[in-house]
Amino acid sequence: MRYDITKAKEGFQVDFEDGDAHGKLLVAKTMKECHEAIEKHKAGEWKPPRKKEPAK
Amino acid sequence: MSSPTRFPSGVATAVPTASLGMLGMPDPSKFHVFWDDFNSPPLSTEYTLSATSVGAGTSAFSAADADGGVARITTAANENDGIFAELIGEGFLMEAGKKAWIKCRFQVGDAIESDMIIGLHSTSATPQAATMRFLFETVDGAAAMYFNVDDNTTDVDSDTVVTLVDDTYVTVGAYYDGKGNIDLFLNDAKVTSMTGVSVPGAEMAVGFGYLNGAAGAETTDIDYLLVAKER
Repeated sequence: MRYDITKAKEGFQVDFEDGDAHGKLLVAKTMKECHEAIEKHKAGEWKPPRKKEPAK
Repeated sequence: MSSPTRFPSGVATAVPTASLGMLGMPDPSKFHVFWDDFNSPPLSTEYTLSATSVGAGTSAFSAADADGGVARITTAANENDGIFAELIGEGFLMEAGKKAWIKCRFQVGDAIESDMIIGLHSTSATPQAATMRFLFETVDGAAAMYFNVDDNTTDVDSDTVVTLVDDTYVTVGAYYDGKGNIDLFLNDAKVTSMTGVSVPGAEMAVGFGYLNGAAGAETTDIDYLLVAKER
């Protein structure tokens, strides 16, 4: 498993690579949020943040 | 090199009546051993690799074209860019009555402006802040490398084992006697000791990594790493 924290438009982005599986965990404002996401993903507890409903 | 002493029937360490009594080599089951000469770099199939590449470039391990097999860490260009590798499983438990050893040869790109760890720690997305640690460490702002033991209650550092120099290989070693004492070695000569140490009470993973302490890409090489413990 490889996790990559890189710079995003606003803050940081976490990508992961697990064999043939690639994906993005999240875009976060702080490095701490990135590390928390990695910990949850490693523990199998990662859930993508819920998307906000668009304003009607 | 002179001619070797020959023992054509082998050399045994097991007692004659044991299952391996007739094995003509030292009983490999006596010790749990991690050994990597880094003929290939740490792979994501065996390790969790945590890279930070906020500056230009990508922090990564590669296999250097260097004699002896070298895992090369190249960092991206910002401060705190770098990469850590930790074995996926936490396979080493420090125990009373069981001796253990760590030995590593490496060189750092920047001795002062860098963070580096080598040894054992509980798995973590931020290995430098792992809950439990039994490892060599140097932190940003100083070239001193020391041994750190953190059992999640007491966090203790040794005296300086080595003052690192940019791009200069050193070999560091640690010997835990199973009784709370750790002897620390530089280039195979004992330089200091820790006594009355409370070792972590849970399993830890082999881990190592390097972070920039200042802007600018750096290159750090790890020649080999040994971690061993009595069963």
